[in-house]
Amino acid sequence: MNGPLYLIAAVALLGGWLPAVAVGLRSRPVDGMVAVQLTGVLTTLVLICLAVGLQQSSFAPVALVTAVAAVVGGLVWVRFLDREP
Amino acid sequence: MTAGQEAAQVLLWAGVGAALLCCLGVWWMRSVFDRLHYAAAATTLPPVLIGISALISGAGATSGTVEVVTAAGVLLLVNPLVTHAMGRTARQLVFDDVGPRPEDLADTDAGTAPEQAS
Repeated sequence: MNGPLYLIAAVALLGGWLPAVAVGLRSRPVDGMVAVQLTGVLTTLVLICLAVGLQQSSFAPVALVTAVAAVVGGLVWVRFLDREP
Repeated sequence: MTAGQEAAQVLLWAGVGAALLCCLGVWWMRSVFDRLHYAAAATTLPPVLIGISALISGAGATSGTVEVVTAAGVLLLVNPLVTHAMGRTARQLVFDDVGPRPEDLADTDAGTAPEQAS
C-alpha cells in the first residue's frame, strides 16, 4: 500500500510553505501575492495527498473546493491590488 | 508491490520534488516576474504528476478519485488565468503601465534589423 507514502508526501509539501511565507513576510505586496498563489496550489496538493493516503473519498471534495477557491481568490486579490486604497 | 504502485510512487515523489523546487525558486528569485515563472511552473508539472499518481492509487471510492483528479485538473487548466492576471497587475505596479517600454521596443527593433536587412 502507498498510503503512508502519501501522508509523508503531504508533510513534505507542507514544508514548501516555509519559503512562500518568507517571501510573503519580507517582500512587496505583489511578491506576496505570488506566494499566496503558490500556497494555494500547495494546499490543494496536500489535500489530494491526504485524501489518497487516508483512502477517504469524503476528503476529496475539500481538495476540489480548495482548488477552485484558490483560483477565484487569487483573481479577486489581483483585481484590487493595483488600485489606490 | 505491483508495477502500478511503483509507478505511482515515482510519479508522487517526482511531483513533490518539482513542487518543492518551485517553492525554492519563488524564494530565491528577486524579481516578481521571475517569481511568477516559478509559481506558474508549480501549477503545471506537480498537479499532473500527483494527479496521475492519485489516479493509479485511488482515493477510496471512485467518486473520490474522480474529485481528486478533477482538483488537479482545475489547478492545471485554470491557474494560468491567475498567473496572467497577476503578471499584468505586477507590470502595472512595477512599470506603471502594461504596455511595452521604449527600451523594449528598441531591443525589438535591434533584434529584427538584421533579419530585415537580409
